[in-house]
Amino acid sequence: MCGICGAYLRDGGRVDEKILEAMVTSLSHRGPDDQVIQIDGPIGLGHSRLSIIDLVTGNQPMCNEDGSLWIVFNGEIFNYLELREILLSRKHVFRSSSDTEVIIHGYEEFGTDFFSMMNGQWAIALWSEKNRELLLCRDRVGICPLYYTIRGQKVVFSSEVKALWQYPGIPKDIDYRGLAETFTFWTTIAPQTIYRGICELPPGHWISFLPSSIRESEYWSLQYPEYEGFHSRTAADCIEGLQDILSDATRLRFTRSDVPVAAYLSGGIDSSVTSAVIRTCTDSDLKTFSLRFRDHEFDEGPYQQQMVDRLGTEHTSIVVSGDDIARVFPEVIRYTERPILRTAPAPMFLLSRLVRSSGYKVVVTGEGSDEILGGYDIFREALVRAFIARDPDSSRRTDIIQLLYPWLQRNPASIPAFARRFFSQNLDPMDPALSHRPRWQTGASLYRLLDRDVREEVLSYKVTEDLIDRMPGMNRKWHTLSRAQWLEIQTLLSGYLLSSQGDRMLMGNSIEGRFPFLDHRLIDFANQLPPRYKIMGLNEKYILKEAFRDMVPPEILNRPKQPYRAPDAGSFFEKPVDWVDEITDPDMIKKLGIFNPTAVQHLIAKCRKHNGRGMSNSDNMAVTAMLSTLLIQRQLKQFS
Amino acid sequence: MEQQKPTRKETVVMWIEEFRNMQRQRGKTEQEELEAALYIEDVFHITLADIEIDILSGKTDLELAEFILRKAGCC
Repeated sequence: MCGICGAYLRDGGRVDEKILEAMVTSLSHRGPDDQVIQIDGPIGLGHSRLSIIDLVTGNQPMCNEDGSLWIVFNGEIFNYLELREILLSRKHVFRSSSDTEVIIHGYEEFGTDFFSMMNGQWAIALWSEKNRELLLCRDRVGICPLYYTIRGQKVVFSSEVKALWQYPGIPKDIDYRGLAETFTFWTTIAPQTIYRGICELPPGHWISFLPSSIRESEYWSLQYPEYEGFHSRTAADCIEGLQDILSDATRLRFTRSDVPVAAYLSGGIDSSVTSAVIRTCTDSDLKTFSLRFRDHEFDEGPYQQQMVDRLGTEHTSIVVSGDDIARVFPEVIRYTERPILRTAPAPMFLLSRLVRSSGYKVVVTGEGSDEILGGYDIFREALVRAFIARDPDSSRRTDIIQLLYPWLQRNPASIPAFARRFFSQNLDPMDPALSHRPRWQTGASLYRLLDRDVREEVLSYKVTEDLIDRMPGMNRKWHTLSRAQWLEIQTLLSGYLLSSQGDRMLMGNSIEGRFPFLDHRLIDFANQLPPRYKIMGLNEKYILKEAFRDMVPPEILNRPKQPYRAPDAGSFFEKPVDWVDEITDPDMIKKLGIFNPTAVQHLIAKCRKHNGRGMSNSDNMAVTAMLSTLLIQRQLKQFS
Repeated sequence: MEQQKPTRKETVVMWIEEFRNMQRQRGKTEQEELEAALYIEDVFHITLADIEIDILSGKTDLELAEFILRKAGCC
C-alpha cells in the first residue's frame, strides 16, 4: 500500500510545488520508501511509496508510452499477471513488471470497465491529458481510503484527510451530520465524513472530474438473491466452491509480492483458515503474529498457540495492557482521523508496529469473513428477532435467547426483562433494519454528552432513515440475513473495520494488510449461498467450518464466537492519564465546543469511582467516543 | 446418465438431516427444539404454534418432512 495525493485546477493555472510536497510528506508513514511529485500545469500528482511489487521499476507517478495518461495508485492488483497477459495479447508494450502499469494499459484498452476486471484493493488517480480528466477510483469494499474536496474549480484528493489540509483554504471543522452518523453507526458512511466539505469516495465507485463537469458511477455493488426457500444447491457443492475460491484468494494474496508476507493469527477460525491455506502454498518458514491481552477476559493466547503448533510457524506475539492502550490512544486517533467508539484499534496499531519492527511489510489477515459468511452475533440476533416477531404472543419463543447468550442461563430470572428490552423493540418483521436497530439505539447515551445546540442539530439528521432509503428496492425480497449483511457491510466494514481498525492502524506503521475473505469472487459467491449454510440454526459460519474442518483444530472450530474486543474505559481510568485530564478539563471542553462540560464531568466521575471497571456497554462507548472526539478537536486546532 | 432431481420431500429430509448432524457435532441435544423451530421456520417459510414446537423432537425426519410440507401447503 502507499499514499496518493494530488490537485487539479480545472480553471487552469499551475499546481504549487511546495503545497504538493507538503501533501505527499504528510503521507510518508504510508510510503516511507519513496516520495515523488509530478506537476504538469493544472494537474499535480503525489505518491508516497511502500515498495512491495516490482521494487526496481515500479516507481510512481507512472505514465503510458506517450505520456498522455498518468497514474498514482495505492494498493495491489492481485491478478495483474493474468491481466498483463490479456493486454500483451492486445499489443500493449510494458516497461515495468508492476501492477501499476497494468492499470494504465488496462484503462487505455477497456476504459472504466477495466475496474471490474481487477481483483484487489486500490485507490487510484488517473490523469488523461487528452481529455483534461482526473479520474478517481476505489476498490469494491473500501480497503484503500480515498478522500477529495471540491473548492470552486479546484479538486484536491488524498489517501488521508491530513494531506488535504496541507492545501490552503480547506476547512478544518467537524461536520455534525458526520457526528450523527458516527454516534449511530460507529462510522460515517461515504461520501459523508466527519469533516465539513470533505468527501470520501464510496467503495465500488469512480468519479471523473472534467473542466466543466463531474460524473460518478458505481461499478460494483452487493447483490443478494430473492429468497425462495426451496432450491437445489447442495452443501457439498457449496463447500467445494468455498474451498476453491478461498484457497485461490489466499494463494494470490500470499504469493503476489516481491517482499516476504506474514500472517496474523487471532485464535479465531478466520485467520486460522487463511494461515492454514498459506501453509499449503509454501514449504518455507511462515511468520505469524498475534495480539494478546494482559486482561484474561480478552485474551485468546491458548487458541493462537494451538494453531501455531499445528502449522509450525515462526511466531511472535505482543501482550497489550490497558496502560498501553491509554498511552498510544492519541497517536491512534491521529491516524484514524475520526472518532471511534471502541479502543479495539489501539492494540491493532501496536501489533502492526511489532510486524514492522520484525522486518515485514505485508500481512494476510482474516478480516471480512464475519461480514461475508455470517459470523457476527448481530446476524444471529436478527434471526432470533425475526423468530420472535413471527409470533410475538408465543410463551416459548423468547427462551431461545438462552441459546444465543448462554451466560443468561446463570440468571434465568433476568431473561424475560432482557428479552423485552433487547429484542422486542421495533419488532416489525418487514423492517429492513430489524437486525440493527438495537445497536443503533445504543448511541443515544452519547447524545446526552453533547452541548444542547449541537445535540439539537445532530438529532435533526435522520441518518437511519437515509441509510434505509439507500437500500436496493428489492431488499424486501431478500432473506433477513442478507438485509443484515448489507447493512453491516455498508456501515461497519468499510468505515470502521477496514479503516479505523484496518488500513489506518496498519499504515500508521507502514504495513500492508491483505484480506482473502474480501476477494470479490468470494463475496459474490457467498452472497448467493443459501442463508442456512452461513448460519445453520444458530451456528455461525457453518459452511466455513465444514469446508476447512480438516485444517483447523476442533477446539477452534467449535469454540463460541469471541468478538475481538479490548478494554475500553478501564484503559483510561484505572490509573491517572495526563492527556485525559487535559482534554476533559471543563474549560478545554467549553472552548472546543461540542460537549457539555457538566455531562462530561458526570461521566468522568462515574468512571473514576469504578476505575473504569464494570461500566455498562453504553458508558464504555460514550467514554471512548467522547475522548476520541476531543482528541480530534484538539488536533484540528493544531492544524489551524 | 442424467441425475434425477430430488423430490421436495427428499430435499426437506436432506436439509433436516444436515441440521440434526450439525446439532450432534456441536454436542447439542434434540431437546433444543427452539433452535430447530427457528431453522424450520426460516428455511421453509412457515410459522409454528407453540404446541407444534413442543413436538418437533418426537418426530422422525420423515414425519417432520411430511409435517413441514403440509404446513407449507406443498402437499
